[in-house]
Amino acid sequence: MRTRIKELRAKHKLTQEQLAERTGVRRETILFIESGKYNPSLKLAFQIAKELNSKVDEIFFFDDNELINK
Amino acid sequence: MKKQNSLKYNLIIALGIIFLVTAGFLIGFNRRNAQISSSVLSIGITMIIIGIIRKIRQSELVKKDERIKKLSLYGLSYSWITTFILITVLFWFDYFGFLNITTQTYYSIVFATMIISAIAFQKFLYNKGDIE
Repeated sequence: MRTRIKELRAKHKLTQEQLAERTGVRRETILFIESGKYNPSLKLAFQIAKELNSKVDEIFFFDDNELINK
Repeated sequence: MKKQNSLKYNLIIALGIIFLVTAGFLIGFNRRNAQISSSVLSIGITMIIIGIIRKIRQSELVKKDERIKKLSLYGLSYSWITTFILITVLFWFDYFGFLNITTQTYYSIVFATMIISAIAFQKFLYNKGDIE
């Protein structure tokens, strides 16, 4: 999964630490989500989207071939 | 969330102090029940220490982190499977006489495996990020 968190964070002048605090997770979790190594729960995805004033599908998205079952 | 946690840790510290005071009274007025007094004293000291440590670390510790919760549970599951396999192996080795260990040694091996494997798996998974 790919995300636009880093880009939107920069736009809102938020650090990973600040976003983590606002969404109630550790900084490392935001780091892993940004780098695509961790898929957040729907609840956390919505929380992040709310904090970044965006919609979930504007922040998180899959490439077409990622959605195909191998 | 921080305020709630802070209140919780203050409450733990306050309870610890109550336990300490109670232990002081028990020691002062009821010298015959030394075991009860020392137990209450230990509980009080433990609660105060835990409360203070949690209070200090609360800024860096978010207990409700979903990733940590998930990976901790996976770590424990893997640890359980590892220990189960080890117990099975030890049983059959003992059954066929390849190994001759005392019950105490057996328990020590199982305890050590459970603790070490749980910590190792959790550490590994935390660094990995997620489980596919």
